Amino acid sequence: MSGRIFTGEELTEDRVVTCDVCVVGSGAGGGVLGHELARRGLDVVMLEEGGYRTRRDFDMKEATAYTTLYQELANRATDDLAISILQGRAVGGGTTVNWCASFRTPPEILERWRDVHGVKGLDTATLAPHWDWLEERLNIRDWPIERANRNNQLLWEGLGKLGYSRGTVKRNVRNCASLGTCGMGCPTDAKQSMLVTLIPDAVEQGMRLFANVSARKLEMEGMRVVAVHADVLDPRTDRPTGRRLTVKPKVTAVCGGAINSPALLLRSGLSARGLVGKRFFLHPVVVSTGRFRERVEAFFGAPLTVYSRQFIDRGPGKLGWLMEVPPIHPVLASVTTPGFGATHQEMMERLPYANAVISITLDGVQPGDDGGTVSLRGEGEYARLKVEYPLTPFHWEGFREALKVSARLQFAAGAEEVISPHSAPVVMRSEKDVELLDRAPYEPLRCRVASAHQMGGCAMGGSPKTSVVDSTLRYWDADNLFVVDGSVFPTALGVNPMETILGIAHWGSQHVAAAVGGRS
Amino acid sequence: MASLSRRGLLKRGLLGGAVLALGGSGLLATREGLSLPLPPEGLKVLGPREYATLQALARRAFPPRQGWPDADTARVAFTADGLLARGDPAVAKEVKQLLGLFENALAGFLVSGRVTPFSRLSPEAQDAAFDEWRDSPLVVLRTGHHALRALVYSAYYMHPAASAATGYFVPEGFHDPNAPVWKGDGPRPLSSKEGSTP
Repeated sequence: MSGRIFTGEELTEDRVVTCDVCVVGSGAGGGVLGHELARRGLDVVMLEEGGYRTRRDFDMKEATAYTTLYQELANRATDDLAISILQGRAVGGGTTVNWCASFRTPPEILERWRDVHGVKGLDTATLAPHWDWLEERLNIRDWPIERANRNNQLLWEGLGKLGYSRGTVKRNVRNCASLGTCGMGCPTDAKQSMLVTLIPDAVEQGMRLFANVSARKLEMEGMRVVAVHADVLDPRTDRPTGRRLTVKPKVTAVCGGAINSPALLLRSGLSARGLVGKRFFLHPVVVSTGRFRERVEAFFGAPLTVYSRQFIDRGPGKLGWLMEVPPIHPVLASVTTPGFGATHQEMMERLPYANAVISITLDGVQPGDDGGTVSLRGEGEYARLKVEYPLTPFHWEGFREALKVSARLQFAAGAEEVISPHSAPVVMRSEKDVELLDRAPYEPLRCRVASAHQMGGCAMGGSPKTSVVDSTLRYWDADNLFVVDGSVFPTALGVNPMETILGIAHWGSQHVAAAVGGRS
Repeated sequence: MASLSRRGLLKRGLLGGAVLALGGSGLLATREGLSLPLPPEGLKVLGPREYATLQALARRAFPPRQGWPDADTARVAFTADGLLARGDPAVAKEVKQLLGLFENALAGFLVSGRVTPFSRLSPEAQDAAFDEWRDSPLVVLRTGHHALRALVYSAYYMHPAASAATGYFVPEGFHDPNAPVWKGDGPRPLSSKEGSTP
């Protein structure tokens, strides 16, 4: 079997292809799954709506990256725009543009999935050999504090001074030059994303990958998917060319991520009794910006290498959070930095002196916290998707407390000024000003919230009454349909999700392979 | 603004929605806004009035500053037009409607009592009008504020001179625009197999 990567400009005629497995999506879930199936000798066709961009394209400019590598030109958001959502859209999916943070799933999360959501057979011991293999292949290694950029060092120092737990983050890189542009694609192929590792490995083993091909609908006959209908997109304009690709697989695996996977199921009339698109989680993030006398240059260096889970568990009924720092590049910083006109310009002029602490809140683990919803605005193959995520007093209390902790950390690390993410920002000049955050408004679009982690929407569980897929990742109401990506998480994680998705896909590939005809 | 009751604001907000839906009518709705020369390359999405409204907003976002390109140099509305053209046409349509509502004197009157199109207001009044949307009790107006703000900031900082003014520069010697692209034909390049730093 001859593997190949096809792109939109090559697909000039309507085409029908048959295969063992159609993998829809090429990110952390699809990339691993495609590889594992091809390794078993199965005939795999992978569809990816984004383009096939490589290091030739990764010019480290935000103008290039956001318009070619992200969903909705990096402007994806909840319906009311209260939460902006960064999500990859390219061959390799999120792994092409993420910041390389690699965490195994916290054991308590897997235990919750078992005890509360009825997930069977998925625990730390089960996943360990899969993570071992992935960590070896993707060179997931510790990034010692000595190699941290100043942005991360400031977090490290602040955590140390306040006596909070702290750790260094493992990264999937090889010969990393610490350019800091992971979010714009790696120009040296140092990042061991699906784009440069398991996808080309799978193509060498016969997988056919069709980029610029957007799956619109799964055609069902009874309990079986009989075809995947897709539009070919023009790589230059991202618009449909009018050409169609139809895949007729024995088994279909939907791996489009926590927004596009439920959307595809819904466009196909698959709602799992109203559960598709529910239990959707975002790890909602608030950003605290510190201004320092020294140059921080948070746009350079490995972007995310220090973390703290000091506040991940604040007790029953309280929203906990993970703390990290992000890279700070001009376009994203300009949108998240509060203010307007000359005030905003002054802050942007001080960008090299800025450090930001992000508080990544853990949603979906407290009673009554069911997260948000992915739905469609209408019916049919071309219905637009809609993301809703109600922010309640439960969230705002957590955001407020997280911002207070962040500000104290930044002052402890030497910040001269800390600025809150409110549209009318709270500007703090010393630790005693932190209490001003208690009087700030906490409402949608008065306090900016963001997300770079999308999870849930096709939740895994122990019963078709409460979940979309079973504990083998199979859609409850179809014989040959699987979902293999972050959408199957019954809750969020409290850590960056890439390695959990990789591990679950590696583990779950046995079930997908078995469904083709007894191979595992 | 501050003296208006929440109920009144809601009512005015809904009326604003009606203005949006109906495209406006009557004397206030049809008041002429700013007129700007159109870019020689033409516009793909925005109409002349929407283009002028957005550029007027950009001029307030990026007043002249030593070492920084101003809004006209950075061609903010033109870049925004290109971004909208590449995105979902339905989103572009919504942004056009939003710009129409933001500029519209009738909508301005209903929301805040102003009777002049946004693009014809004094600079100080433009700032105040934009802040009114930011601080509105109506989420829909805050959403509009956020959408327009994000659009002008994204477009501006995509300009190389604006990006450079912040201190960010692209590290040299790493990006290879002629790097081979492997699609399954022939041997795989070493870098895609093992990773390497030039």
